[in-house]
Amino acid sequence: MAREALTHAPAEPREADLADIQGMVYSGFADHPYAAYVFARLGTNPKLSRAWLASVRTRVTSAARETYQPHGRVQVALAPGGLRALGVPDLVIDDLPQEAKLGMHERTRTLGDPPASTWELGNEDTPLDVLVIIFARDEATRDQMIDRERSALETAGAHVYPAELSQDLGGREHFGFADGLSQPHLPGPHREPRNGGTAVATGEILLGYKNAYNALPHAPHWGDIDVGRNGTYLVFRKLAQDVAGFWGWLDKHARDLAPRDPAAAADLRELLAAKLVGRWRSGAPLTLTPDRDDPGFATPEMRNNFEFLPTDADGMRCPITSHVRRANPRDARGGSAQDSDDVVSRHRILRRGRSYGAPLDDAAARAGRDDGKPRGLYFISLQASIARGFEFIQQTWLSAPGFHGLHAEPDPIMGNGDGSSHATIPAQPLRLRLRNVPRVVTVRGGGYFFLPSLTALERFSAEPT
Amino acid sequence: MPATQALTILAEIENRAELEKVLAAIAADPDDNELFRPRDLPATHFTRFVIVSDEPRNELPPLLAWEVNHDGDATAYLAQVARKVRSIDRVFEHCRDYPVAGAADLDGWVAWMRARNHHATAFYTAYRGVPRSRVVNDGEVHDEIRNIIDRERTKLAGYPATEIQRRLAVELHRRRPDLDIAAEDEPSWALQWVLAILIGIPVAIVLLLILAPWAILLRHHEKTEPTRRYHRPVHDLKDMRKFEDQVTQNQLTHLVDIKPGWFRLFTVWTVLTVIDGLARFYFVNGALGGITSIHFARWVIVRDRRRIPRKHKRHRLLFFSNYDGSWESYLGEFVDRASTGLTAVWSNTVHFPRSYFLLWDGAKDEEAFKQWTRDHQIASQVWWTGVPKSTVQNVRDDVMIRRRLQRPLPDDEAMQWLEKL
Repeated sequence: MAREALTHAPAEPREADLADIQGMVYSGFADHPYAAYVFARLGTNPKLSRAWLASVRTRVTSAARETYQPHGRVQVALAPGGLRALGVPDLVIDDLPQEAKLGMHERTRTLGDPPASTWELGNEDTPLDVLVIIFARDEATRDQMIDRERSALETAGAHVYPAELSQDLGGREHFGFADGLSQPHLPGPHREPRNGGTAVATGEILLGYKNAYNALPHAPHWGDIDVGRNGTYLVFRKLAQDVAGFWGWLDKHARDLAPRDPAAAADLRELLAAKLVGRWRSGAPLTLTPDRDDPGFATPEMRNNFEFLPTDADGMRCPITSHVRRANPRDARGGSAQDSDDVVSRHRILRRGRSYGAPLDDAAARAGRDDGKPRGLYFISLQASIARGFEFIQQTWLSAPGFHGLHAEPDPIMGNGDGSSHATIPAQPLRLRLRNVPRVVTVRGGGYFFLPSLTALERFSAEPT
Repeated sequence: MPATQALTILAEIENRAELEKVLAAIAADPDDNELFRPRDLPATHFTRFVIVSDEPRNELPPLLAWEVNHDGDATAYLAQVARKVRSIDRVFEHCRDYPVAGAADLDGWVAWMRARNHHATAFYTAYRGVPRSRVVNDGEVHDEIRNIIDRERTKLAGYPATEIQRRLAVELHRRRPDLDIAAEDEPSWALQWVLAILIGIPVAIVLLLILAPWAILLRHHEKTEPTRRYHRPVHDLKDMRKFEDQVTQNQLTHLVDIKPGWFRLFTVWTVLTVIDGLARFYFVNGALGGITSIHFARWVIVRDRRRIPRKHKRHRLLFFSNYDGSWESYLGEFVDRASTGLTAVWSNTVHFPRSYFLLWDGAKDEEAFKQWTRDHQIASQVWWTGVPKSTVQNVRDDVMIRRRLQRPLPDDEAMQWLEKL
């Protein structure tokens, strides 16, 4: 930041800002296990679209808890196409970051994704202008809320895609691992960091606040109104999980390594899976408990209470290539622990994802028998810069085959490997390398959205003049 | 061992439309086209063709830049090009004063090229002294070792580390007698250090003598020179991304005017000369001031040779980089790990975010620095890498592994060596 401009930006929101920030920024709404993601392409009449936005805005839940409504939570995110359809001037849209304007389908090479033509959602033929997110306590309420949002959109001339419905797996994802454990702490009124969670600079997530460079990030303005402030960018990805492919492949490897001992093979299968993920099923980190799953290390106090350099610099416990180590290298990204922490602090995101699809039976999974039903994860992340947040993590840490000195090894879970890459598990005297890691997570679509403040939603729903 | 050299040919373009067609034909398939295949030149690490135009001002003639990172002596390399890739004529015939006989007249051709070769004021390589043949050989050695371990891990793991090392060498030689696995000592930088000190001390004395008046002038410049406000996140043009954000490696070509007047030209030359010295003697372990992702990079000062008053001259700074990872990660490393060095160079060029005493601020302004870089980045027409799947760290590990494969090592070092496999 230039010396003379050393930022008047506030470090974190004040009490009054909470009523302006959409609720999902500060809460995952875990007490509302039924979520739905309603995507739509807006109609050609901007007046009608603005009327729709004005009406849905009254239902949007803010981060101020006293405004929470009894029955459910609604959030609204807009893609640049949606802003255009609302009649927002190009001058304002132009201020959005490049990657948001291009859209995720134009970034497949950067992300290492399969071509967008193979996607179900958000490719060139199925543009996503708006995303209405619904959280409900029960299924019936969710259905009612979906109907209401759908008909509101359709009345405004929008084309509404079939709703994407979440599936509550009790804090696990489909492979069976505890999920969403390592979230940075977002500062705000009445919020204290919990359980060793490291605080992220507010400006890394929310626009309008100081970021990790101690600078105020650029944000779209509309005349005198900072329509970026209290808003964030939302990444949505539909990730199909091949549960039978994952466990069947590991089971085969484990039986090859312990051919005459089924019990040992079963243990080995769990160990190999944990080595690829970096945590055991319970969420206990390998760096703390390298030999067996110990739920004692999976408690909220313990599960993030570790660094790599002191005991695990070489990855003998938690492999360099493991998913959690790539997604958050903590103190081990190079240079001193402080150097690494500084770098890592500039690439943090809040995750708000949920699973979809019924779980696959464990025995079928181990036998590699798929039931052909769709299942996976709706990955959702929030960040003030998609390029420096989600995209950087996906490209530089997960997909990069040369991450941290590795060779031909993208992330074994999320790295978009094509079946020809490997996963090295350090051991003494010789490492074990799992060859030809199958692709077990496949991108089925998604998009980049702006999750505006309520002030911005109000401005977008008023006459442009 | 022959060091890798930087060749930067800048030739004035005569027929741009035709040249663009030729370059597009090469870019369509750099490994298999009729015009120019870098793979025919085994001493090439990385190479690219870039049209350096002066749009939209068009005061300076458009240039074709040919960037090569090659092993050995420039004349020998060019002679090899003339002999092996006669069709290089099809590229350069669209440039001014190209010899009629083309590459067929070897001496004339080499002389023409050498006359257009611009010295890189600063040149960095991450694996100095490792020729491309070694890079390829050692990569294959490492791959083959990996395959042997994959197959025979259980059997080998029963032996002590030094015995595993010995067996790996024997097995490797049995399978791939074509590979060179000669042991080699790590290069010693002692002589380099002596040289560095002998050259460095007088240079430092001269610099110190002029430091005070220079610093006063510098602050005057920093305070008064116009700068630019950057008010939005990174914007760019689509064709810039052609050779960007590919899987392992990428390239960046960047062209910007040096601020007018002798002071900035002198300062940038001095800074680059110091960086060049550091790159030779100090940054010899695969990191340029903390940046570990650069295979080869160079800065070239392109002097304005027009016969016009000196204050109107537009000297330019041309930067070429061949790096690992995405643009965003590369620029992030610039900001996070090397902002002082880069500010020292680029604060002497126009529109750079305002600096403070040459080293501070500037590139620390993350969003402005990224936008500035994007504003002055130019698209490369052809880019080729000789090690498409290897990062800097991969190359350096491969070399280390081959060097030690047959060297007697104490137990603990043998163990460490095994961990790298």
